[in-house]
Amino acid sequence: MHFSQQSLFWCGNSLEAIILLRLLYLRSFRKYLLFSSYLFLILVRSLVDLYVLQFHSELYSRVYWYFTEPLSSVLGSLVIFELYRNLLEQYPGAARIARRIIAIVFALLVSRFIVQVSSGQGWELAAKVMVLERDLRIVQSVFLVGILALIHHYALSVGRNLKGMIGGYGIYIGLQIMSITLRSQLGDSAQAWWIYVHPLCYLLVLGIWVVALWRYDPMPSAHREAGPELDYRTILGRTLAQLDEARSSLSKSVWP
Amino acid sequence: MSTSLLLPILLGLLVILAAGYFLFRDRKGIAPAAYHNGTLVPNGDPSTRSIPTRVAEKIFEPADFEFVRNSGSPEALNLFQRERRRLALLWLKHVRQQAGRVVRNHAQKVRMSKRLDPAGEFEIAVRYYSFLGICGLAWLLLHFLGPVTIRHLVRYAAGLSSRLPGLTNEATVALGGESDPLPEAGDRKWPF
Repeated sequence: MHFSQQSLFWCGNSLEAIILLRLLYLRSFRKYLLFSSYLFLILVRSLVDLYVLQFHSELYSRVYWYFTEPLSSVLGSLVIFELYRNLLEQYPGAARIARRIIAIVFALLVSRFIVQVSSGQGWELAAKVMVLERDLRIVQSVFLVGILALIHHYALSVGRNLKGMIGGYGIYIGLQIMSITLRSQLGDSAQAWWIYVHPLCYLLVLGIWVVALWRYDPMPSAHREAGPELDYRTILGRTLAQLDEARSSLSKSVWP
Repeated sequence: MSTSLLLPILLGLLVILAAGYFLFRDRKGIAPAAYHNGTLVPNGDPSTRSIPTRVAEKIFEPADFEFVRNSGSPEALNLFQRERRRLALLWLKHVRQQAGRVVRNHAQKVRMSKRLDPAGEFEIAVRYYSFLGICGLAWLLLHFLGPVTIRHLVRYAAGLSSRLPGLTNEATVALGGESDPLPEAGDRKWPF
């Protein structure tokens, strides 16, 4: 490992440790349990990687492709769960629907990977892990876009912590999808820049998280509409009728 | 560049842009619309005030256009068309904002509901985005043709469609076939 690589490696680990310590200090560790677990496990993973590389370098490739790389991709899903959990905490109906959809999609994806691995040869594993990682990142990106759509559509107020998590993780996923695709297409020639670009991107994301999570700022309490709560079907019917009315008034005026 | 390479890269770029925008945007709060029994009522925000239907009809009405055209001043005609186009586009923007407010208000009302139905929400999304699609089409037409030309086109199209059965018959006769007489309103026989 070159000095520059080592610097990036230790910078990343330090930032992860800083975020974890800060979450502990602010006692928001429990509030963001899945996110904290993700960061903790990623930190442990880095240290395991380093240990294997230093003391059992002949095993490094296997450990990397069989264990640490797939693990970190799957762990990334924890962040998505965390985002949905926090975002929809006050919205039980939407949370119930989102939980089911996410669990089903992830279960299908992991099952597909297990079937692929169990039916293939060992030497293909690296390629399969890359495919799994890319697929997982794509699914995560779809869910992340879903989160952004929910925030926009339901005009949800998002606290600074969650905003940073969403923004940072979105940038990370986007960069991962792009770099995995290029790496799988360009092969070994991409490795030279990959070992620098990947940690640099991750450092950027960690920087965003440090700033966003420096102080505890959870989701603001949702404002409940005043007055008696109307039945969902009644509201739905009224909204649909109003949209139909808007549409017909537009048509009548422009195309009488 | 192959599709397998291009699509993930585009997706990645899109996610980065969306996340970056979300991270650095400065969202200003939108005052919730005032509703009474499900009907939008003015609350000081101009987009909640509804424009009377006759105003919208007046914007598209060709009578004023004919009057200005008959005055014989090309400058006045140009100015009139420009102003009408601006008014029509403003009116369209207002209509779009009102529909947006209806959907936002719905979201505000149901977002905490335990009985939230994905099918219902999907139906609203489909209707709302198809409405926006129509607004987009109307914007293009208003921007490039102007409100008065649209009216003329619609009238022309309506006239054409009413003449269509007759034209079909003429074409059939011209091609050597037998003409199918158009039924009178009283003679119409329904197939059931």
